[in-house]
Amino acid sequence: MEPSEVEFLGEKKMVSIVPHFSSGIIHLISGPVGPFRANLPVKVPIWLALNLKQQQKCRILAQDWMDTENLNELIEKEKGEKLFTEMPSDHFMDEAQMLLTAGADDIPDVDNIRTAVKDIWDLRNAKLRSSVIAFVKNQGSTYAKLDHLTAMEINSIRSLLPETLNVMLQIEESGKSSTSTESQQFSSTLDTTHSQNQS
Amino acid sequence: MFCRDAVKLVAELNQTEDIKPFNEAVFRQVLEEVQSLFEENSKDVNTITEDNTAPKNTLLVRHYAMNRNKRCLLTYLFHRMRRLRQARWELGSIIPPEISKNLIKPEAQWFHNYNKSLATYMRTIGEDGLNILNDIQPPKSLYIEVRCIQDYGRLEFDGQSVMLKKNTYHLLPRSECESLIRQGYLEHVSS
Amino acid sequence: MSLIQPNQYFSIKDILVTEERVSSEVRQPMPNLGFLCSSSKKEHLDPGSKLDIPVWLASSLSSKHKSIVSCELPRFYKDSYKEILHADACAVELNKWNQYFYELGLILPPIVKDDNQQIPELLLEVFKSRFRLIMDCEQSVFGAHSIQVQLTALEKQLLKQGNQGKMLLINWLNKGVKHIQTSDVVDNLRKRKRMEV
Repeated sequence: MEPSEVEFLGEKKMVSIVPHFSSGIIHLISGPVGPFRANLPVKVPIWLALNLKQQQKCRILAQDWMDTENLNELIEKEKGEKLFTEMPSDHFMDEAQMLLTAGADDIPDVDNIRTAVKDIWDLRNAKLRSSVIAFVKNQGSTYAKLDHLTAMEINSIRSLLPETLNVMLQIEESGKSSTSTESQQFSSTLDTTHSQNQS
Repeated sequence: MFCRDAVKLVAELNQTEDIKPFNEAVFRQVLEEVQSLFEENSKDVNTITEDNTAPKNTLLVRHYAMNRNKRCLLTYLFHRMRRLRQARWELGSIIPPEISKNLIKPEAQWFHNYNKSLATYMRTIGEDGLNILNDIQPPKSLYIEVRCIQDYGRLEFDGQSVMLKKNTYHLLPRSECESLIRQGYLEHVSS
Repeated sequence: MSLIQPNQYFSIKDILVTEERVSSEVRQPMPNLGFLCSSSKKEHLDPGSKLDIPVWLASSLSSKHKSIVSCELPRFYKDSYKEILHADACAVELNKWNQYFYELGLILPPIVKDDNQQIPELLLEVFKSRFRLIMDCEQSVFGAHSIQVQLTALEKQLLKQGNQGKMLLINWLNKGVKHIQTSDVVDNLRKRKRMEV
C-alpha cells in the first residue's frame, strides 16, 4: 500500500470548516453534508474541505487535538512510555500534512504544530524500528502485539516485515519437514514441475 | 556441462528490468542442444540390455538436461511476456519504437491480442465502459496543470481540442492527460 | 510469491540458485559422459570420480531413492565456518561465501548425505542476527553502501523492498500526494537514450 492510498483513507475523517457561502444539504455518495450557512462552522470530510478551500469557499479550522500544548503533553507521554500511547487520531500524520498545508493561513501557530507532530512521528518511528528488530530477533514468540499504532506507521513496515517473517517461516518449515519421515519432493522434480503455482 | 547457454538467457533477464532485443542466436543454440541430446539418447536407449544397465544413468542425465533447457527457454519467454504486459499498463496501447523493435513477431501478436482483451473487458464494465488504467493513484482534483515536455500534436476531448507543443502550459482534466503524463509527453506541475 | 520458496518453475532466481555447483562423487557408472569431468580424459564417468555438478543435476541424481552420485555439503555450512557465524553473523561478508547462502541451505539438505548438520537452525539464527543489517541499511540512505556489499541476494531483495516502501514514504512526507509520475519504463528508456547520445 502506498502512503497516497493511506492518505486517501485518511481523507474520510471529518474536520470543521467555516464556509463563505450558504447552501442546503448536499447529497453525496458517501452521505449528506451540510446545510452550509455562511460563517457558521460545519463538519465535512477532509477531502471536501480541501476542495472547497482550493476554490476559496471556506476557512479550515484546526482539529481539536492540533494545539501546541496538547501536542507537547503527548510528546512527553510518548517519551515516558516504552510502548505506544494512544494518538488522538488514527491518521494523525496524514491529517496534519493535509490540513496544515492547505489551511496554513487559517490555523494559528502552524509551524509549532507542525514541528510537534513531526517530533511525535520521529519518536514513534524509532520505537517501531527497535520493536521490529527485537521481534525478529526473538522469534520464540510467534506474535507480537503493538497497540495504538496509526495507519501510516503500520504502512511503513508493510513492505519489509511480512516478507521477512515469510522467509523465517519457510526456513523453519524446511527444518521440520526434513526431520519427518517424508522428505520434501525436491529430488527429481526441480525442473519438471510445470504445473506449479507460478506468479 | 550442459545447459550453459540456457542459463545465459536467464542471466540476461536478471540484469535489467527492460525488454532487451530477443536473443535469437542463443535461443537457437539451446534448441540445437536439446535436439542433439535427444538424438544421443535415442541412440543409447537401444544399447540397454539386462546385463548392461549403465547407459540408463546417462539417459537420465541427458533427460534432466533437456528438461532444464526447456525450463530456461520457457522462463525467458514468460518473463518477457510479463514485462510486455507491464508496459501496456504503464504506457498505453501503443508501445514506443524503442521497445517494439526488440520484440519478435509472436510477442507483438500477443501484445495486440492482450490489448483487444483488455479493451473488451473495459467496455463491459458499467454502461459505457470504464478505463481502469486511469487513477493508478488516488486523484486529488479534477483538473491538473501540466507542462508539455515533448511535442504531441493535437489532443481532442469533450468537444475541445488543445495543441500540445513543447514548453506550453495547460489546465486539463485529469482523466485526459493521465496517460500522456505516464508516457512522458506531459509533466504534472504543482499549481 | 515468497522470496525464498524454492521449486518455483518460472522463477529466475530459482534457476540461478540451482546453477550453483556442489562437489560430488560418482557412485554408478555413466558411459559417454566423461567430458563432464574436466580433470580426467576418460570417455566414461566411472564410480569414484569426483566432479562439481550443478544443483539441478545433483538433486535429481542423488536422493533417498537413487544414488547415482553422492554430494557433499559446501564447506561454509560446516565446522569452522559455523563457528564464525555463531560468533558474529553480522560481521561476515556472507555475500563472498555464497550469494545464495539461504536458498542453497534450503535446497541442499535432502540431497547431501550428512544431514545432521542442522542447517535450517543455522540459517534461521544467521538470518535473525543479520536482519539488523537490513534495517540499518534502510535507515541510513547514504552510508548504506558499505553494509550492502556484504549482503546476500535474498537480503538485498528484502532491502530493496523495504527501501521502495521507505522512498514512497519519504516522498510523501516531503512533497505530499500531488504529482502523477512518468512511468519507470519511460525513465529507463530516456536514460538509455542519453547514454547512447
